[in-house]
Amino acid sequence: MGQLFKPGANNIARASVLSMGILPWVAFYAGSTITRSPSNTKQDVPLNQPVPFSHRHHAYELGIDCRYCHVSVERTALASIPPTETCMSCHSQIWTNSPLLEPIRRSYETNTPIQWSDADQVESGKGMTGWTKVNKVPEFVYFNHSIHIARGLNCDQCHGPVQQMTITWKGQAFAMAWCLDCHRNPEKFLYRDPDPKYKDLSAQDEAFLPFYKLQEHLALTPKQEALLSGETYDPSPEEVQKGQDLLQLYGVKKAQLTDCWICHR
Amino acid sequence: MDKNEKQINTETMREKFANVSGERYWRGLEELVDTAEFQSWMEDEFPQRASIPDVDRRTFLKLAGASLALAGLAGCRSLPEERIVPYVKAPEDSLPGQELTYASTMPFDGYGFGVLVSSNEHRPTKIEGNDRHPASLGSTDIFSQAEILNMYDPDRSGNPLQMLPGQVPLMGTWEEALAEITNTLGTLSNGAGIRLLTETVTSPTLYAQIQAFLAKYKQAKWYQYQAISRDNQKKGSVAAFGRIVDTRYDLSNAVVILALDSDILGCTPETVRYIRDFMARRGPDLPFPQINRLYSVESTFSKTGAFADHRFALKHSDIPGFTQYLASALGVAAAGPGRLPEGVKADWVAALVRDLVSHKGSALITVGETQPPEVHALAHAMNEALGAVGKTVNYLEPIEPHPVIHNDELTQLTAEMAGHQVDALFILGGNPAYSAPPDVPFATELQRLTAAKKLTVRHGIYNDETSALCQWHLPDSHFLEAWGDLRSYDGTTSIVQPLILPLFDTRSAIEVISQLVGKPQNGLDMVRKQWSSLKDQPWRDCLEKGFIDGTASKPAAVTAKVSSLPSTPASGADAIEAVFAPDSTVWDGRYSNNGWLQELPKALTRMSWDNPVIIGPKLAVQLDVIYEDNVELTANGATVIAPVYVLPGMPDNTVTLTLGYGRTTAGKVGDGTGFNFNPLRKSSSPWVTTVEIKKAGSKTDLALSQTHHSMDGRDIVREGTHSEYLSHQSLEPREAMGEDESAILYNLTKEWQADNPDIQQWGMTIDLNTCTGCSACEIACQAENNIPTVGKEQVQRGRIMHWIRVDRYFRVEDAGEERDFKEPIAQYESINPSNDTGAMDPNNVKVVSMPVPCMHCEEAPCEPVCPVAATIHSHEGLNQMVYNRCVGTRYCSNNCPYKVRRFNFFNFQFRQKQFQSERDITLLNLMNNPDVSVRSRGVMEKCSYCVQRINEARITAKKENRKIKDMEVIPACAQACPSKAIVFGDISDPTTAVSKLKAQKRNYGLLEDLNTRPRTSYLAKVRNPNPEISNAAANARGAKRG
Repeated sequence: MGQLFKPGANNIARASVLSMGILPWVAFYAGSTITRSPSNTKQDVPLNQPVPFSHRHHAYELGIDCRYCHVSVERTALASIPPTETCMSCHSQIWTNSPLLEPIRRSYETNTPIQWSDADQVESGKGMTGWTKVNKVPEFVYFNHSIHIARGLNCDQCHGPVQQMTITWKGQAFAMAWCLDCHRNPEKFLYRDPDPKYKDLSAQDEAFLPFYKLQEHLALTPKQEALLSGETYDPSPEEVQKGQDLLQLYGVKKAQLTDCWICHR
Repeated sequence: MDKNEKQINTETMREKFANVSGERYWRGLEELVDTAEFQSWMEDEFPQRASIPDVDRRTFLKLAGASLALAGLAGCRSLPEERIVPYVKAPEDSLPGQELTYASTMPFDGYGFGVLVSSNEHRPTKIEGNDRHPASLGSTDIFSQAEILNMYDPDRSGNPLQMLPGQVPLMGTWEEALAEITNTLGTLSNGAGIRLLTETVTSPTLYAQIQAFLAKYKQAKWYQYQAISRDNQKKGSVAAFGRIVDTRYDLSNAVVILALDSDILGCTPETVRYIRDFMARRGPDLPFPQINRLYSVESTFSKTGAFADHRFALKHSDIPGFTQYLASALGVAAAGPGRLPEGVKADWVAALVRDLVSHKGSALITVGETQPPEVHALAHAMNEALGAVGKTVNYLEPIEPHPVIHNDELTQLTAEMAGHQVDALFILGGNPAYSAPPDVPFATELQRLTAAKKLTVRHGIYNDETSALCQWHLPDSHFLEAWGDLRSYDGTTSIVQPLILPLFDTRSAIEVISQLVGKPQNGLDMVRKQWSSLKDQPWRDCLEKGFIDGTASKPAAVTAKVSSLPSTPASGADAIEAVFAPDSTVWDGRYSNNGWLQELPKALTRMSWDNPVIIGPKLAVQLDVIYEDNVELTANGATVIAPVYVLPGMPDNTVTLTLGYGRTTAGKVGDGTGFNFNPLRKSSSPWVTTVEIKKAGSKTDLALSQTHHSMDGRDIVREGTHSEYLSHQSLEPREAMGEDESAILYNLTKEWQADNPDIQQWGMTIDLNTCTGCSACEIACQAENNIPTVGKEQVQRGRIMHWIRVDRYFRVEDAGEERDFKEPIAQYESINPSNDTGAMDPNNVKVVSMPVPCMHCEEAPCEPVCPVAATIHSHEGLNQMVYNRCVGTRYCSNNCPYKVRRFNFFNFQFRQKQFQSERDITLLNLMNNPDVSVRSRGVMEKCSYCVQRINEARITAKKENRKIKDMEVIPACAQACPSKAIVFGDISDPTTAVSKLKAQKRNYGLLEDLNTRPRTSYLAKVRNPNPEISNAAANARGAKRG
């Protein structure tokens, strides 16, 4: 009987052995890249909404304060989505005939939550009522907006450059490692405008200062520039030192920030 | 493990009892007898693991591979897109994510109990006590905690139903039903033949509506009946005062209290207040005339008896004689000499009498509902002789607007039904078809009435046994869904304020009656009209407070006169008496379908899902039965077969039967649980009957939780007497508790203080001295922390989920040794064979209740064994459990010496056997606390010290730039506790309440010698026995021994 395998088969065998070592890693890497990619996390992907609401138009061009709509952001865990009534406080006067605002008017007239108008827009199983949720942390994460605002953290820190978004997207993927970036090193993120003009500002107002300066066309600090453009910012050693001082001032117990039960319970 | 193997037989029990006499604690007879089977059950961390199918290696690998592949695949899906639905018009007073609290009033037994109800996004989620309400003072009982589950109960009836005998009821509308009902009413001239049957009515608005109804239908009659009534109290009041007045005790003034078959610390609408007042005088640092002393003479084993400093177990029929003897000793002239029942020592009574007399003005005698009216009348006379009236006992003008004797009412109504005088019957609330004693054939007559095409209408929360026999069932609203008012135990009128629109198409009783009267109004209008004197602002103030000031009942000026006493016949010494009692968790059956209450282990038996026949060890040996053996009970022509539970401390020849079980149409949870003992009752004597009892030969599985999570007889419970405690006052705390720090191997320096100087360190104390074992903490924790129920079968497997359990330890009286307070009592395990009384003597049994939550050990044994670091320490000293890390190895639970960790063997939250439809699951989900994760299958869970409340308080404090104040964080268990036995706070700050308690010499840690350094510590129990009696007893024992 002749040889079953030609000498070239050795190469196949070698390649197989090699790939047995490599392939799992490739698969693992591919898997984790895919799960972390925007196609899965929807980071930076604008999502369809029943009404194409533009934060850029309302918050930046018109200069409406975030808290006009997200009323509870300073006071409770949730920032909250505005009721139809809030939209109608202006839109009963302006753009009263805009076809884009039809779902808002219908909601107000019929006293039912906002409905999607075009059934084709809605893929099956997602429901016809309400806005598409853009930012979501898992159910076992108990995030509290109010305390973060009370420590002077600007909205854009987590939500990306919201004032530039025509259709809203998720600024961050909200992976736990990303949360821990700040919870481990809060001094890198706590920030106050060095301008003495703002020294009496409460931390809570400090959180919204960049938007105010943007509206008033005042000069922005590099940190504020980065925040408002959605870029990552590397604080200088002096800024980190100032962050340390802020930790003292606010009484933040840094060690405690990474306790599991701070966020999960 | 095979069920039968586990059993212990009577022979071993008898042998063991003979040997047990030295002082030691045991949790149940199985432990006391300590069979090999019990040992193996206890040593097995997760008993009955054998239920996991036995598979060979190949199959196991196949399954494991498949599940790994599937588990991996489950992760490969993109995040689902979700909708977020805002309001159209936001309500003015609330923000999303903000919890709101409203005052309301819970009806219980016809009386109101002031509660504060939390609402999350406008769904009620938690009930707490109203701290301003006189009945609550901020605490709750198990029923008010569990009411929230009743509201979301998927089995509640949601539509008017036209009942068709033997068929599925026809769903109707309110319009149809009311049209038909009013048509029929119109045909009855002047309302002849109309009968209205309600439960106890205290609500002024409901009473006004009933009056309007009776005014419109002139010949209509109104009856009141409820299974757990106060008939004997009322009759006793008539016998003593010539009219009905309400008796209320003021335990804050009482020093020497004698409870005659009276469960004042047990469960009635006034209990929460009674416990609070009683415990206010229980601080062991108070000298005697300030600290109180409780005597109990009772015919069952109640929570009051278990708490008493002196308890004497007597047959029910012996208590009147005892009372008479006592009365003559106290100088109540008309009482006659009386007869001291056999077994009661005259010097015991003499010491009691001396104690009572020497505290004139602060002595009190209370009588329970089960005792005949004569005993109540005698007690009124004795209280008067002791100068108690106006001090420890108050007589109030009746709180019910129309007080009646319930059994007479039902008897009369049934007679009228039988006499063809009834053409239309309205039953509002209650469940008389289930609860009526068999000599009042209410159910039969109701069925006959319906069959004769007479109008029979039932209005109730559930479509139950009574509804099934009616023509129409109309669904009632829950108290959180409808307006109303109720009077509480002292008469204070409290407003029932709804928090949510009715979940189903239901209407409240006042709304239904207003329809029948022909002037339909909504509930709010009726209540406002009733209290029209309260204009806008005063009304709003009342709503905020929850009650109307100045509405408490006026004191009644009455003088007790005891003219003649009908001699109460004592049953023969060998006759066995059955004493009926409301069940401590499902009451008269109204909570049968409440899974939380069904699963809550009952105070003294630690039994859930059942109501076995409770008998004493002596009777058990006599009948040759043991736990789970069925017995056949025959009384008044009826026979019931039920299993026994052997409870030490039961009086001889007495069985206790609790009501409320054995329901046939309670709902998916309550159906088929327990046994219905109502057929053994008699309307003339509803609380006691003589029974014939014999072994039935069969067995019934019971779900006993007391042997779960056992700590194997180690040093657990510590107690001493008041005089011992005071005499050691000068000693250092730890030394006083028998603990010598040098004897411990480990270094006890408190590292956490050095590590985290500014961070609060949480700790808890639990005062064994004031814990009555009421279990309110267990239910409060369940409601707060979304703890699932697991069902009877899983409880039997030891998988009960409560994060805080209440252990109950029995102790037989000290064998005569000189006992030093320095020694932990549980170390007394000496066996003294010459003393043959042991646990067989009911009067020898003492009880300690001990709530056990997670200890949050500083050196937690659970932490190092977790392979995935799912349980680790926080900087605040909390032992954190991280569900999303847990892979379910259960090593932690294995290593926990306190056995406080609970494992989700199944997806208990969403895969309840009974509730699997999407509607049911959604309904039950609405009830969940949004601040606590809902755990899924395969993860461990345990007490978190209510970390959600800590976090909430921390965030609030940080926003206000301050530290968390003392008592700002109150865990659910501490908030509910009527005795305020649980105190929580920062132990690094010596000024907090909890630090001060931990500095007391009574403070000790559970199994502290293991160097776990528990953050939860206990305060030893300090009993306050009468020295005269305890010395005499010690001498007697000494003489016997010598």
